[in-house]
Amino acid sequence: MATLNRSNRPLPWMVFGVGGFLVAFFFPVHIFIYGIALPLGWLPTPSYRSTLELVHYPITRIYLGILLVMAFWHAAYRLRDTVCDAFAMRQVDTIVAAACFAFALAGSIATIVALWAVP
Amino acid sequence: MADTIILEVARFSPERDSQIGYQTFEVPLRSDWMVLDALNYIKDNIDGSLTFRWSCRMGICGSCGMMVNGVPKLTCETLIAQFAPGPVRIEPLEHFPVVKDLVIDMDVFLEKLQKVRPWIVRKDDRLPAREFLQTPAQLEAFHQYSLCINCMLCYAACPVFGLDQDFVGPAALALAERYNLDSRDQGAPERTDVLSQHDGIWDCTVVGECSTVCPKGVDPSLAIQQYKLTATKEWFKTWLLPWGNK
Repeated sequence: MATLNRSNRPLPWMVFGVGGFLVAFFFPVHIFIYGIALPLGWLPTPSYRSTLELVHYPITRIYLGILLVMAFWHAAYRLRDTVCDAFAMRQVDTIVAAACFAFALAGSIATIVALWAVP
Repeated sequence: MADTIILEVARFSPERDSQIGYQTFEVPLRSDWMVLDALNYIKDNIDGSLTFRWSCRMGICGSCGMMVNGVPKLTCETLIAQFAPGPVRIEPLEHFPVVKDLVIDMDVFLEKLQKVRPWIVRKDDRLPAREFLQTPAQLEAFHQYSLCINCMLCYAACPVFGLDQDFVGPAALALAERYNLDSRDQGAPERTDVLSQHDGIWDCTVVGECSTVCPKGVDPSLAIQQYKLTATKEWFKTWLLPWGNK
């Protein structure tokens, strides 16, 4: 098969790319609203109940699920490269990759479970 | 401005030394001198055994690349006066074996270059009846990559190449993309197996130093990211479409 030597990186790279786009695009909005504007009183503080109601909408859960899951896979890809290069561990790349992607998988499952179980 | 400047020049002789040492030279400090002029002054007036490569003196042959105060530079277009009062440390390009003093062994790069087939590949070897025509837009698609002069500064700047000598590296990948994007070329499928393997584009972690140090304004980092997208499309075609592997 002509493709024998080709790397299988395209799959995680694509997830990394999409995750990076979502994180760069949406995280600053969340940080601005919940980290800066609300604590400084620039926006009226929503009640716990109204925030909970917002998360009860399926569209909010789908949005948060996609955003957080993709952020975990994006982070795992970058973490893998950083660990391999910063600690000279390229020889054990497979083990580092397995650990990082296991972390992303665990984070994804925790995200889905947490969103599913919102009271 | 002082009249002279101190150069700390790396010295290495394979018969004599086990590792690189440094020798200090005091040379005239002239506002119109490049680092290469200072090295030639040493060779002509102080120590004729100092060994380094140079040729054109106008930033086009790519021979005189060295580390100047730890940064890869073409010494023929790096003014010495900017480093006053000195000293200035001159070393051979990083990440390459040293042959003597400031001369590196470039075989590792030439092997990589050969592998990516950096020339126009045609399915039909016969010469065409007339020249291939290109529109300005078709030329624009690859033009910046064709400015590469193979000076290897990008390899000296690339931390990934420093860690993994199997990495095909910035210049070879940019030149591969230069031909892949050329409307006259038909060799992209032949280059895919070299570019799409793990030591090809996927070793690059987008540090971007290659593009920063390039003296000709080539952006190898962009070429690699462009090809990652191409390789990803090819990968999905191969695995998802029944005819993708043909």
